[in-house]
Amino acid sequence: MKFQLIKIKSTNMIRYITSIFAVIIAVGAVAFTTPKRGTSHNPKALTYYFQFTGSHGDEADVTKWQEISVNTYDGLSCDASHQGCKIASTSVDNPSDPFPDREITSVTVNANDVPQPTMENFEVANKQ
Amino acid sequence: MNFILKYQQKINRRILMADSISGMVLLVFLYTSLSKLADHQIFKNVLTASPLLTPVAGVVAWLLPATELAVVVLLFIPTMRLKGLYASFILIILFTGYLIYMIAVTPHLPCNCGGVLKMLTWPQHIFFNLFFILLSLTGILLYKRNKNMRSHWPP
Repeated sequence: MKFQLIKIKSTNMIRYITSIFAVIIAVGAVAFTTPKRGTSHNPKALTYYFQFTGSHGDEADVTKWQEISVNTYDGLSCDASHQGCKIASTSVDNPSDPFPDREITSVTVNANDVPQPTMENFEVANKQ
Repeated sequence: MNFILKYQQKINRRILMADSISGMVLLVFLYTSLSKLADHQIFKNVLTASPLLTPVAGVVAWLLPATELAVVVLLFIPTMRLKGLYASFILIILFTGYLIYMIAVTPHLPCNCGGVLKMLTWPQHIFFNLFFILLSLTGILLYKRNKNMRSHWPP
């Protein structure tokens, strides 16, 4: 008995379905997980980035906070033992400060060494 | 006749599994490439912070997502999926090698900014990559066996 070669037909359209689903899920995931970097609604609100250059216990010393650019901030590493890499200030006055365009207050830390906001215009964001 | 139908079902099942694997790899590559393009400046800064890639950070920042998108295109087209899986296999091995090098050599690792993948630590990222290496390899073997089955019919 001779067997005839049977052409196995694959429907190419069906084979595209897994790819199409994958593209939809990927695009949706990017849209939902990419952080939005928009400008504040308040035109006077600015964000400044500071890097702490002192030792443990010096967090209240204003001179130990060095201003850095947003690019430097984005490239910083923050492992689990270092938090509070960003302090956002929304006040602008007091020219006698080390940073005359910004108003800086002392920053207290809690029991876990996480900087705590001391003024309502301050926000502490953990990079982790 | 029954034997022929069973043979045909086996091939279709194999193709379905291989296509599903291609879909998963496509998803990961598309997601990571779009994430890198969406936050291009951050990605470039992270590359600049890496001691191995500092001199070529600008080039790699564009080349890497472009390569990933090329792999996505290959995985999308059914007739090119085997080539896409080979490319993804090689790329993921290179990525994993880079991760191992960074963990072994760099004392202060830059942030792992890759969308959802930023939630993973660097060692976890290695295991994630190893899973996809195995997945790509499985997909390659399934496509190759499917090819062999078709070329050896009738026996």
